[in-house]
Amino acid sequence: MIILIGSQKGGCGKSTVAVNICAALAKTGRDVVLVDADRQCTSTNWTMDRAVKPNLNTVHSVQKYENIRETLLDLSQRYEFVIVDAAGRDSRELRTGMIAADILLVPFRPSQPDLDTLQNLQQIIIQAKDLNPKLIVYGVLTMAPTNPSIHESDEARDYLLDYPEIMLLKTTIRDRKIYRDAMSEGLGVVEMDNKKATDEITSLMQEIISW
Amino acid sequence: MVKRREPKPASSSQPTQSQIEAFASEADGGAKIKKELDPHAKHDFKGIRVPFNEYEYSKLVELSAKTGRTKLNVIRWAILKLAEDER
Repeated sequence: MIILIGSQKGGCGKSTVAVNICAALAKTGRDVVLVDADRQCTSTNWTMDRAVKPNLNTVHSVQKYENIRETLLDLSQRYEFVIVDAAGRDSRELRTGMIAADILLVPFRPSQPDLDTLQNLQQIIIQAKDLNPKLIVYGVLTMAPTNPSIHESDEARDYLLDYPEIMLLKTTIRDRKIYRDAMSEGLGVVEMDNKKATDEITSLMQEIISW
Repeated sequence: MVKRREPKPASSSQPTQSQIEAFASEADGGAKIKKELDPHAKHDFKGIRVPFNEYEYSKLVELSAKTGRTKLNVIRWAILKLAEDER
C-alpha cells in the first residue's frame, strides 16, 4: 500500500505525520519504507537519527525526486507499506506520487493560509483521479491548539465541507512538544511515553488502514 | 426489484507516459504540454460548410479530375500544403 503525505502548503506537519506513521507501522512489525521526496530531507534526517538506535524496529528509507511514480510502484511490490513524504508545494513529486498512491493524506493546520490552498489542491486531485481512479484522499487537521476553548479546529472542519474530494478524518493531531522531541530523536511518539500523542497516531492509523 | 449498482471507475488502464508527463509538468504553475495531433486521424473532429463562387467551384472540379482526388480531398490537401509552405 502506498500512502502519500502531501499538500501544497509547507509547515503543516507532513514530515511529522509521515515519520510517525512509519514508526507506528514498524512498531507492530510491518515492513515499511519511507520515501523522502522533499529536498529539505527532513524525513531522511529522522531515519539517520533512528539508524543509530539498534533496538528500534527498522524503517527503510529512500530518497527520490522528480517523477517518483515508477519507484513507488516498484517499492510497493517489495514492501507492505510505502510511506511518501512530498514537498509542501505543487511539485512533480506530489503529482507523480498521486498517480501511483493508494491513499493521499493531506495534513493541514486550522489556519487561513493552509485552508486557502485547498481549492487548488482539490483541482489537482480531480485531475489525478482521472489517471489514478483508485486514489483515496483524506484530510487530517494538524498542529491544532491543545486549548479546548479555541475553536479554530471546528471552524476548519466546517470549511472543509466545501471540498468533497477530501474526506476529513475524525482524528486531530494537536500541537504537542512531544512530536518535536520525537522528531529529533529518530522516534515516533508511539515509541515514547505520551498517551495523548500515541492515541492521536493510533486513531489516525485506525482511520486510514486496517489496524 | 431494483438492484444497487456500484459506480464503475472512470478507467482501469494504466496512464501512459505522456499523460503522466502532461499532468506532472503543470506542477508549480508550469506550462501545459501542447497535445500532439495526429495528421492521419479520422476526419470526425469538425465539419464546416464552405460556400464557393462559380469560378472557385470550377477550379475545384478541374483539380479533382486532373489529380484523381475527391473534391474534399483536394481541399484538405490544399490546406496541408499551405500549412507546410507557411512553416
